[in-house]
Amino acid sequence: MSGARLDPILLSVISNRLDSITKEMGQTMLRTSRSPIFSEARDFVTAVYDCQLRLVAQTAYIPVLLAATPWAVRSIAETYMDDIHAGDVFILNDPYHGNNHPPDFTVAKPVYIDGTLRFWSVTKGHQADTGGGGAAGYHPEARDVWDEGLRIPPAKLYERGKLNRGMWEMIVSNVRLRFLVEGDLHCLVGAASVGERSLTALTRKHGAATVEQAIEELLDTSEKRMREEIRRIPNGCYSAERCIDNDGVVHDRRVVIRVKVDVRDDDVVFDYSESDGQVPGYVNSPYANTASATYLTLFTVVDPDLPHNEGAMRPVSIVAPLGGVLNPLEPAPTTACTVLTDETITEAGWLALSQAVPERVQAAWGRWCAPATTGMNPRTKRPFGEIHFLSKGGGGATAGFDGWDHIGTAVCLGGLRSPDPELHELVNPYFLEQLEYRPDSAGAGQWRGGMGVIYRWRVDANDIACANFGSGTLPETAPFGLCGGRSAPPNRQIFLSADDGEETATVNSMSRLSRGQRVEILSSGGGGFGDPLTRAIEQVVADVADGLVSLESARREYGVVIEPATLTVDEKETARLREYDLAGRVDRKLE
Amino acid sequence: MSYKIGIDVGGTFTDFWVTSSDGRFEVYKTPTTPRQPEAGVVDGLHKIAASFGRDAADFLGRVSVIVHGTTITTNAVLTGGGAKTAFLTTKGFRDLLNMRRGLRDRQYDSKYRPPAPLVPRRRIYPIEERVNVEGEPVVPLNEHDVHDAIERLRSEDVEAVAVSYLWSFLNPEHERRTGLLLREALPDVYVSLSSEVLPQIRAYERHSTTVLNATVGPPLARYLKSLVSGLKGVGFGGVLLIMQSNGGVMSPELTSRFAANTLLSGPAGGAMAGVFYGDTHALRNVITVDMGGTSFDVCLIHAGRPTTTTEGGIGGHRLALPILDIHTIGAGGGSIASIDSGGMLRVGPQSAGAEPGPVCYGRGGTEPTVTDADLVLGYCDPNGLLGGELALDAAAAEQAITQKIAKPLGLTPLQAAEGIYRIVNANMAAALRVASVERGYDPREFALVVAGGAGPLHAGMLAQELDVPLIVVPRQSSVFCAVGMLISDLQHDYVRTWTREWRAIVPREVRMILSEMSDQASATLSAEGMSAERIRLEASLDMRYVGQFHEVAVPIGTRPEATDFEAAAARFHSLHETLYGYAMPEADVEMINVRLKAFGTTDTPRFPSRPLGPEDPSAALKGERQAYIAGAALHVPVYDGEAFEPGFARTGPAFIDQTNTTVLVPPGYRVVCDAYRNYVMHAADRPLDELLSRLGK
Repeated sequence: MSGARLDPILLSVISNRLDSITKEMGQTMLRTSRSPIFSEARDFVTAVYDCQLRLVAQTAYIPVLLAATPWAVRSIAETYMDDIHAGDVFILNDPYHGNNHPPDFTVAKPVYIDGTLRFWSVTKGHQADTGGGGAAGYHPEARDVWDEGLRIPPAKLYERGKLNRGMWEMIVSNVRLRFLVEGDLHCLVGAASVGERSLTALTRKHGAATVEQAIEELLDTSEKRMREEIRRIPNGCYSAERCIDNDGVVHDRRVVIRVKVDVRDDDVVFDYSESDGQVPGYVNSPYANTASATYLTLFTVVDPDLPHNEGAMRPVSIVAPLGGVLNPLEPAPTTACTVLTDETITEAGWLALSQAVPERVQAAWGRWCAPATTGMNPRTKRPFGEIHFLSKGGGGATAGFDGWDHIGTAVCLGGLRSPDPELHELVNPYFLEQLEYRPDSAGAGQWRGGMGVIYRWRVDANDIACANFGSGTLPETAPFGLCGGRSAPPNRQIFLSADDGEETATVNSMSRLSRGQRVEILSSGGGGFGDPLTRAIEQVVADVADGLVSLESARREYGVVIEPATLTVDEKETARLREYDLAGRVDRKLE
Repeated sequence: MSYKIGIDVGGTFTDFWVTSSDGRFEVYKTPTTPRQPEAGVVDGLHKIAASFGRDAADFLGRVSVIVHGTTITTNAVLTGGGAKTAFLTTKGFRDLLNMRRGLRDRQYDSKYRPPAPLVPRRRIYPIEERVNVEGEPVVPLNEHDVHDAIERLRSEDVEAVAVSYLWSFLNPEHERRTGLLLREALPDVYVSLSSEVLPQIRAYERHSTTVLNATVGPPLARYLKSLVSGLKGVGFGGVLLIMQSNGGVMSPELTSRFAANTLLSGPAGGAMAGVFYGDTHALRNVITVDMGGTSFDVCLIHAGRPTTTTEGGIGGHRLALPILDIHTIGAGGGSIASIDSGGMLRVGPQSAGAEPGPVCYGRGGTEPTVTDADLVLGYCDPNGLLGGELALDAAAAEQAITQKIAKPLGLTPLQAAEGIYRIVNANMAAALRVASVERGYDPREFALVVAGGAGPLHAGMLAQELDVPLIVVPRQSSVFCAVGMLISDLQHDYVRTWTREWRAIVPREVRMILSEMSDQASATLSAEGMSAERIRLEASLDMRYVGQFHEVAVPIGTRPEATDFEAAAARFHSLHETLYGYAMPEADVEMINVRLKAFGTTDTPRFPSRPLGPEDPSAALKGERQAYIAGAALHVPVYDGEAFEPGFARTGPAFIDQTNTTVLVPPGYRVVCDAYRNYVMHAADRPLDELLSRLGK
């Protein structure tokens, strides 16, 4: 870059416009997508890259997609080099060509303005199905990437504006829910075109050189802001480990993620070298996903308004050796990485950073534990595919704030909208029996975790494929508390037969569901923050009155003794319990 | 002689717009009396009567219609002043209301608080009952549960109760029975049933809307009761109508029952005023922009009708009733300018509000605002606002901008002030894009109609940013909403969920539903005094491709019984193409809801136009100001708005000072005073007649 700096006002105008272009693209996706995973759960990202393939602006509706596009776009650009033209639209889903995991299709449209390649308009979203042996893309028993479904290397979906019919047909012929996937492909391409149109208008208005300079300065500014934020974290090396319950193939072995966060002035390294090597099952995390989880961890600990672009990512280094579970070699299966592995990476990162800046870190969130199911609905005579988002658990507490209820796994940070129960019954052959807060599901604390739920449904069809995927079903994988806050109870998934027989599901396994059977999920709330004995007594009473905390827990966890009939506090006994217990745990700082 | 009055109770002022049968109109303002708004209203009416030289009873005896807009319900939700409310819902699903579908809009902000629940869990009573997806009652209503709930409601002195069960829109029997038991046992409690308020699929949206209705029902009903008796007390015997969020008006009785319909009615009058001022130039496609002290409201009017949405919300809670699609951002005269940690200039959304207000008001404000920048740039009348009543301290404004913005950015104070001006304009332009481009409309095909105290200073530059060629600045921009109220029709919205795949549609069934809805609408409107020839119906179907989760409202005309279903399908595909850039004509289509809008046409006031005089405006010239526009210091002529007569025209740069605001005519634009004494600005290189005829199509 040479010459004078850009007028700071124009810089703000152009930066904001780039940001709003990704939101315009997102609006198009939200309103036109067909699968509930897109439009209801908002599992997609829209992004703008410059001609140097730098991430300039993005809107990641689900934070696990924060870095899900950079390596995919690079892979496309490197593969086609001299064969990129105006009107081309590229597609890619292969985790061994820079993608994060196969169900998230990347669509990239090069933006030519007056004959010169200036930008890439990029969209990406989770497809309702990608073929293979599982359900809705999730295959707990997969042993390689081919078991998981369709592999699309960097390919042209449109060539100079003309549809590549063979490629299109090849994709939609290899998935079960063709009518959904076809609609969502249209939607991805449509949103990329919306981005192209707006980027062209922006460039015409201000001139290519000005826009280029604005991007340069925007990225530098974002880098500067991130460096200032890192400087607010004390220098040091902070280590932690968390594990996944199992990988689906070996059910009695935990998969361990170890992180060493090295903060030096305004640089930070997330080193995962000590984590497990790659595993046979589907929790292997391609580098793009490992990077996404890392940025998610850090972006929640710094100024929440930092832009999520290449500049802000510059001060962050990620070490994940090839052949490890966080940077696997072909052909390891990977589909569950965006949820199970991502949650665990984030938890390890938060736990490590809590040693440095506890008041800025959150306790762990309820992990994912619910199936994806597909089959035929006899009532509508249509195939259906459903990831059971209604099971969403609670968020972790942080200094000064209770966690949010039923907000979902940490990988979405509250961006994942629960389906509507009525639309859910309209599309799927399921009758809901219960969906409400699960009492005592939140980790106790001065600030308690958010509530998990009880979610139970009856199956009204036969022969439904059920991919049970999840984690957090063990005491050591349940959401941890921080600074004296308690952990939340683990997740549980139960199959109830028609005659009320009960069987706890093995997470990361395939089952088949049939008519009359019922499935119940008890999801974890979030972990607590701070010693529960210091929680305001009136808040404990309110939680008891609301039926969220039981009388026993009020006494046992919070040291608050409440008279059941009137809900009045036995102040003497409460004072005695609290003083006595507090004296016994003075030196407990972190769990 | 008879009169009609539009009354808009705002946060600071209550605005009155009085029209008389001879075509005259007058504008009044009185201070709002927040504790007892009806007192301010009655007080204002006394003053107006006096200014017409009549005693109150005589004057009000001649008032045939009063249209009234109130923010009682809005304030009740935003400040927690709603009724003590309970909620009865299907057992097993107690928390759907408070889960709010598990969304957090600031995802990365761990220190962000959820909105306070509308009803705490302890007052949400699970009732055993269940209707299934086919509308069959698979678990009967357990009346013991209802009776138990009634006992507790009684002992807790609850003022309002909402009832919303799963699938009640398909089979409302359980809800009706529950409502009956509640109304019998608790005659003084306000009862809100989802099957009456919003019989439509999507449980959380229906629950939330029904509960909002319950929460704001009692305060609104109380207010309307005392307003009606206050008006009667001063001799008013005409028709009182209340402004609704959908841009229509309703009788006080119905408004009290469906109180939630007024929750977002504040800016609705403004949008309707846009229709009115557009009409004066035969413009059917306009965008209204209202820039006040803290917020900027945009509403797009296409083919003479404001766009509507069912995706509204208030205070973090969903309101799924049809409302005017008004997009609001935090940008106004009071918006605060600051520099973020990356050294970028930001303006808003924080606002200095009315207190302490901008630095230049001298009421203790210390943060530089948009109004401070406007003043430093020389855009405002240095003698102050309200005809000099509110003096402005330019030196203090410049000092604040210098210290907080110019120095850290290495700019001169003028450059910094212009930066603030440009950033807030860019923010507003982005809001205009959301309202137009994101909804499939091209802003260049629209005219802007401008309102609000700060609007006329910024509209020209805003228009330039988006290549909007034509701007209308009404004289009455400061009582804009009150104007809109008087031209609003009676309006009722009906919805019935009827989910069917398109190929399985039985036209007879849909026509039957439509005719039931039309009968209900006609009965309601005739009870409000509308004769049959004034009733107009507009039906639409919410349609989507099978599997989609968003519907497109497809209009099916004004004679629902004659619906052409093939034409509706074709229209759906083409609307989808327009809105989202693609259509899939071979894909299966389904229908979700049947909607009906019913209008009772009211008489729109007409004004005599004045003949246009000569173009030369020098009779109104009152001096010049040095102003900094687009990077250049210029000597800009200033005109007196009071003396700027029909026909006067002037090419920018120029200012026209009014009592409450200033119109900035940017370089490259030309302003003309039209036959109704409103200002029309247009791109100077494009003849006005040509623009009017092109945009008027």
